[in-house]
Amino acid sequence: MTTALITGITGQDGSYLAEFLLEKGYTVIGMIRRSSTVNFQRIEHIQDKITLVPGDLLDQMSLVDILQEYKPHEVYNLAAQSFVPTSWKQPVFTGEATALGVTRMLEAIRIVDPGIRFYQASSSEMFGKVRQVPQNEQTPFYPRSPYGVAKVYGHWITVNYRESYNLFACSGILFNHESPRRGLEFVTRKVTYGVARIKLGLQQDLHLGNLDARRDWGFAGDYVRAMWLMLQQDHPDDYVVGTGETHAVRELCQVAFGYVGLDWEDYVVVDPQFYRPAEVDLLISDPRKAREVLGWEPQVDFRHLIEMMVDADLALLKRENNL
Amino acid sequence: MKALITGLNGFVGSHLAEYLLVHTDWQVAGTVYGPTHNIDPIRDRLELYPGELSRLDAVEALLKQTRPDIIFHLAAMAVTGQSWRDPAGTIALNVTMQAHILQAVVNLGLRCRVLCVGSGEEYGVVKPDDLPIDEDTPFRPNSPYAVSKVAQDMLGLQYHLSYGLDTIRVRPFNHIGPRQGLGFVVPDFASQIARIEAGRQPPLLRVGNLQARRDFTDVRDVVRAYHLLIEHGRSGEVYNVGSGQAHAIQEVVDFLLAHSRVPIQIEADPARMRPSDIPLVICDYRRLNACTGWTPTIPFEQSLSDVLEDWRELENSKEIK
Repeated sequence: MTTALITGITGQDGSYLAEFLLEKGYTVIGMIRRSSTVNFQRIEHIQDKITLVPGDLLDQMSLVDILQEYKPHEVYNLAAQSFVPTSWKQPVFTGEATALGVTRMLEAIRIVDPGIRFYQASSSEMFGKVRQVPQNEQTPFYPRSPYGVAKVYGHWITVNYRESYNLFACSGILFNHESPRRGLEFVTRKVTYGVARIKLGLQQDLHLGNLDARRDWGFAGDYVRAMWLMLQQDHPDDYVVGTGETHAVRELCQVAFGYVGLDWEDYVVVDPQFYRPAEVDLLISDPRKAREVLGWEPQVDFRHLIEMMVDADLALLKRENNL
Repeated sequence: MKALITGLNGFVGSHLAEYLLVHTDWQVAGTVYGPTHNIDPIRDRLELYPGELSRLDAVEALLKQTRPDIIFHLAAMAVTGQSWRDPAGTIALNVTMQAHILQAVVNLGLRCRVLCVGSGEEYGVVKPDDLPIDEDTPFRPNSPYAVSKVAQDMLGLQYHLSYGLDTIRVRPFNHIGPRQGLGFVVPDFASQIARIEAGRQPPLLRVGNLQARRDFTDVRDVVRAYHLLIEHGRSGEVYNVGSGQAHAIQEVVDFLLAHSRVPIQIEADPARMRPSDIPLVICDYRRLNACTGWTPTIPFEQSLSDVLEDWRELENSKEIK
């Protein structure tokens, strides 16, 4: 039986990955911070099938202990201080967790069992002020936030340990991936949740910023499959994972409101408070390598992703409000 | 007024964007594909989008957002040599993108002027009595790239005839200048010389057919012509854009060798000989001149000198790293 350790298991990706690996017959170990105040909502439904263990990316010994005790074959490092605005307020902590945390885990693997396969969750935020459109594995990085800078470190230390110590270490450069488990601060969820509330008569309108902002949005459930595929190859490598298409917030509104039979233009209020001037949106993935080498294809397209999120938010709100 | 430039970060697109920012008060938006260093100095003054022109829905979304008054459709697979290796891919991409731009304008009912960029290569194999080449010269395209440009040109005409779209077509002849990528004769030579000067290549210049004579125009004159045609061109009309002056490739080599800082030998390279080559091309640009008063202003030697400097700078920047 294969054992996998997931850091960041309470997050969106961690919860989908845990489900995916359970279906594959894995024993799933989830690392959580002892002091963690995060909620366990996303893994409630599988909590009796996984083992949660305390550990911290800031604490080297805790990582060594976990690897020695549970002997995982695969480690998926999804934990990070991952909120970009917070990274400006806590740049040093962000570096400790998001950047050096990767080194601590790689060191633990090198010491305990160099045969462990390692996945590092890298991010399209590393491209920041993009140097090339679309972005692939060769595109130079130009991060624009302490979070992005920390992720670039995490990426290169993963590459470096692969090359220096021959570890099976992969870096997956994932573009935006959404799901019903996305936090409400992200625009996709903000829209689908808002649409559901409006449809149920709980809210009158929806305030948004730049409707022309575009993103390469995919479904988180598809992306965790790409993570797993990377660790099943003959050789470790880095992969860009995305849809290769962008959609505007405006289209997001059209699809989400249209799905419940409403006209978005009747409800969306453009609020300058959320507006970033001269927003430049050149982030778009070139996922050819993932397609060709991993055979990975997204299964859920943009429309179905948004409809799935609206459905989930309608169900959630009906339950919460006894409707 | 708002202009949308497809292929804004390319060789011509970056010069056009700079020109419009300096000489007009238009807002400038554009699509970007590939490396973006060409537009680094002006990036903050542009509204940029990823180039997703091979999907009609993405083109429609782009036009809905940008609502341009003018579209300069420059995005294309532009290297003739490459079109021999992938003819179907070149034709499919160039024609698809042109059709999507025009169809999206129709579908959205936009009232905007569209500049469709063909090529002097559409005329292809010209006969001595065709010279200089005016717009009525028959097409005898002799590369897959040229065929794709004929098709783009005809789409521009067809949408004008079928829907009354405000299209202006241009057939630019060889243009040269800083930032032109490899795969074209002048940057191919200039980059080799810069590399030789920097000690990164043996002092041997590999050359193709040196006898062919081509009509060269500086890219900065070309983008000025595009702007003038948007302002003054006649809807549905087609205009040649070229200097009316032919220069042998030999002249390019002679100039660059004369300005090289180190002695260089010449060697014939069969890989640089095109499958078919035309001895002489001269553009008749009287229609453009009559309509806009345009004449070329940047001397050939100036263009060559600027291109050589451009490649020297690139080699120097490698040293600093």
